[in-house]
Amino acid sequence: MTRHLVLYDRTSQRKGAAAAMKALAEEWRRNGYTVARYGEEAAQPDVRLWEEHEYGSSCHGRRSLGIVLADSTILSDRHSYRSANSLWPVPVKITALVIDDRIVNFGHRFVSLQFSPFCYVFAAERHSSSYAPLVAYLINKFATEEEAL
Amino acid sequence: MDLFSAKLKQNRLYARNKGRRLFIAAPLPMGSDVLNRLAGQTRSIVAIHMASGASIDAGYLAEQGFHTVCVGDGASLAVLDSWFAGAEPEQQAPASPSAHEPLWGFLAELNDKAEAFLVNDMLIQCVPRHFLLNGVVKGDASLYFPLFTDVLPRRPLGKGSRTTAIVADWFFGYGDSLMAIPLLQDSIDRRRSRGEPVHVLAREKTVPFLRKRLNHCSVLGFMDSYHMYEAITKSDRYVDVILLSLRLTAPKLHHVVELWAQALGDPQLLNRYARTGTAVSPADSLLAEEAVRLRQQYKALIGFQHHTGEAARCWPQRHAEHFAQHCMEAGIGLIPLSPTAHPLPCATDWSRLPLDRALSAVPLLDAVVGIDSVFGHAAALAGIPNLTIWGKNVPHLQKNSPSSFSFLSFRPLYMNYSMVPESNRSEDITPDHVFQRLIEMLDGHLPLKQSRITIEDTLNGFHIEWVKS
Repeated sequence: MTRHLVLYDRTSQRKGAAAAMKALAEEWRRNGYTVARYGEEAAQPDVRLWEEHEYGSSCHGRRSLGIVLADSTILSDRHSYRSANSLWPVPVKITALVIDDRIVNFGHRFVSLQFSPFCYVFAAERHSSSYAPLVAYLINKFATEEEAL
Repeated sequence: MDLFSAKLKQNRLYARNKGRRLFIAAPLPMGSDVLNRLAGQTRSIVAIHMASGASIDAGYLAEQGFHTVCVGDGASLAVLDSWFAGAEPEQQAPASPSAHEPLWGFLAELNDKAEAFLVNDMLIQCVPRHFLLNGVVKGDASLYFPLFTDVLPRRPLGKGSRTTAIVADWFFGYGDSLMAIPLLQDSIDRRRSRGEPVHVLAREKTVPFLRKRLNHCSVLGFMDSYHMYEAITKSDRYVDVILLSLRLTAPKLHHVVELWAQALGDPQLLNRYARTGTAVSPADSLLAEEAVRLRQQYKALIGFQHHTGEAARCWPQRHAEHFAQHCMEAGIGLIPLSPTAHPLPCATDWSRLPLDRALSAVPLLDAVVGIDSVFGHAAALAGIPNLTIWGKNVPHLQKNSPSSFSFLSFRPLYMNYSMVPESNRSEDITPDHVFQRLIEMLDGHLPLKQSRITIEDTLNGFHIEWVKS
């Protein structure tokens, strides 16, 4: 059954969505998953990628997850304790933030860049050649827990 | 001390106290056996899921001080026991029976001089950069260790886990735990009614404390480090990871329970926050009988805590002795609740009781006088009048260092009267002054707030007395 990934662009410039979608699709495919964009013909792809205007107010329950493209200002402590869905009320559960611009002064929180209290933060600038860490994370969130260890 | 200085100090401490390091390579089916064997000896373990034995360089491991051992079957696990006993078995390259088969690797360190979380952090820094931090593995003792990988096998996509992890911040102590318990239990029950299990993750010290007080959830331990926050966030075990933070570097000001309610995604939690029996359990009959006997001798019974691990929050011993003398002369039974090196004149001493028993004794008291620490919170949650002697911190703000603040209030939530030194030195609050307020409190001349004290109450100075030097 197809899983749905919806990208919400909440940056001030609103310019990064296309590049992020392309990088995401490539990385999913590199991991052996079939991917289709909204409107593309595909028989039951593993993952279908949507932008906000394409997805509208649909909701596929637990088969959908949201990613927000945001400016690094969102990493300030004014927001860190809030859930992503309380900051951006959208119909799907937001599971990760992609920060597109250069992150300054985040180290003072003494946490690594990949972590924020309100959800996973992927710093695209630091991983400009690959969305591998983000897709590895998304696979974990879609996959059912394995009781190996 | 701010976090950066604390980390620097810890690193120096570790550099002087390195332990014995071991790297174990094992076939995938033996992962659990090896992990459990290791976890019985050390808390400092990092798991690595390797594409093959060639994923990690034996020379690099040797440079980092790791003794490499390969295990292939149950019998060869004995080599681990001999290493734990101090032997240095022959070094081996981390090869699998087939060089192309995936393997488990485990970095471990035996070190009884440095704290386990610090050693764990150092081990994480030894993991080569091409491995991706991708989740956690669980040892026998319900303790999570970080999991790295350089292989992402194609996994069938499903609906994902339904479980939420609620992570208690690195610095969570017993007082914080007491305040968090009503919110946690409410949130756990609501999520459970929707079929969403909850795991509460905390530093090892507070795990038994929380496990005893929280129902319908699992309480697990983890090595407290920011790497572990990341590992837990990424784990496939959890759909959601919520941090109950104890730090906030930007205003606006919050009481810490108000912050936690927002983090838990349900502002209505605060409206339902109530004094609860789950946080402070009833006293046993021996303590109850002792309290009855003491009441026959004294006009009132006062719990007292003037000391904790952080010197800047303590009230000087000489003040405590003077205050205790006042109480005894006035026929008030003073009962120390927290151990100190020098005993005080008192009605009875409950300071050597196990923490759980001492906390259960709080509802037997007429009031608690203390510093910003666990017994003030216990009294507040039990609805007992409580007087806080502040020092470094103030009721609305934490001072991590002279220039670094946490915009959080940790004031006891109910029935609190706060005495705050303008100098930030608790010694400027005299025992005579505290005794005078205690008498007014016991006589009912300080009408205390029975409903929850909000951050607005505190900012408006409600029952806060600023004391000049």
